[in-house]
Amino acid sequence: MVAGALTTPETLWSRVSAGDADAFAELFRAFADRVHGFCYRRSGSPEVAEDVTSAVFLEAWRRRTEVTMASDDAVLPWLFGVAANLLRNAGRKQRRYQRFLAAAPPPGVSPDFAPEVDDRVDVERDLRLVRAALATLGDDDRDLLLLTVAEGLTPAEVAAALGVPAGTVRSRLSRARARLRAAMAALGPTGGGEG
Amino acid sequence: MARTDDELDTLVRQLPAPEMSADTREAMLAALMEQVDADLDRLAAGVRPLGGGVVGPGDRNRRRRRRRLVAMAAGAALVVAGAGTAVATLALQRAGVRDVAHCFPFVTSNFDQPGLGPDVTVSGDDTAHQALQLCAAEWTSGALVSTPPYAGTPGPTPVPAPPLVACVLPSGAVGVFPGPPQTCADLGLPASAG
Repeated sequence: MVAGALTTPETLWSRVSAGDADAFAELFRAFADRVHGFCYRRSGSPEVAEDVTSAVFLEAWRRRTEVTMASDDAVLPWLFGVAANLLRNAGRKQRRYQRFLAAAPPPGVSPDFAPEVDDRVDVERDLRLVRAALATLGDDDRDLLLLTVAEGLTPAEVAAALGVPAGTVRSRLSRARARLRAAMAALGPTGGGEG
Repeated sequence: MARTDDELDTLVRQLPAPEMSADTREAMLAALMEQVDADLDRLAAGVRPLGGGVVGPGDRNRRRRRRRLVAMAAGAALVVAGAGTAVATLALQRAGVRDVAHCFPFVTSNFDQPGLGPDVTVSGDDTAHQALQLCAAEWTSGALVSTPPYAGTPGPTPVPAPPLVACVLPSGAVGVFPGPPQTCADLGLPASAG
């Protein structure tokens, strides 16, 4: 599953819950990079990604006795959910993602490189486009797409992370993809999709 | 022609997410472990911990681990841009920033975390006293809460504010934390003298 390589996956969270500081350090080492990766993709800012990653683990420690995990497979989705909440709050206050995007080159503008680098230029253009399109989506759509597609969570794990009914994840994902596709078409060089 | 679901997913998966450097990761862990250890110390001393719950007194390995992590963080701090390097040595200090203070929802040494508590506008001589009053008002109104997203909806019924303490942050502004009087010292900050 998504829990990564844990030395004692069946007991890690219970050890953290019991106040085992070494287990908490182990938890951090097991999941910090995954949480940071999500925060970076979600915020587009290395500073926000680091700040929120730290805040996520502090919150995990603070709530260690109130959160029950059925297994350690549930830990990472829960951490992602905490991160998503913190990022939504941070986004409302600071809008760093928008500043990040404003500083990035506009999508669809490709310099006249030699043919051998055209493919790479196309990929870079597409990545700028998808990043800009993601920024136009609502928090729910963006979190759903990133957790499902980029982080590889199952629908049940996404449901647990975002607090939505598990049965609605697939339909929400379909709608989110449609909105992403429409946003990319609107932002693309022709304004009508690049497909 | 519109992109297929698979094409969209491939692009989303390709969005870059650079890993933290080992130095950054260890510095972050060291800062977290400082707070974990301080929390356990408070609990061992019979003070309400950050997260509540049942935790035994500190183990003998804790201080040894803390020293090891702090030593690692000291090396990492040399290369981590913007890391908190200003460690206060005064027990009491007057705030250098006199017009704004920050209310923290919990005890943290990451003083610049985004979205964690509101700023309040202060003026006049007794910045610390004003900050304590204004932050207490944030807590009692329900606008500031200790759980994510740390911002609540103010309601008609006042919520008891936790004990608050005013410290001087590395920025020179007053930071108001929930906690007992020794919280500033635990964070390596001077208490605010006004």
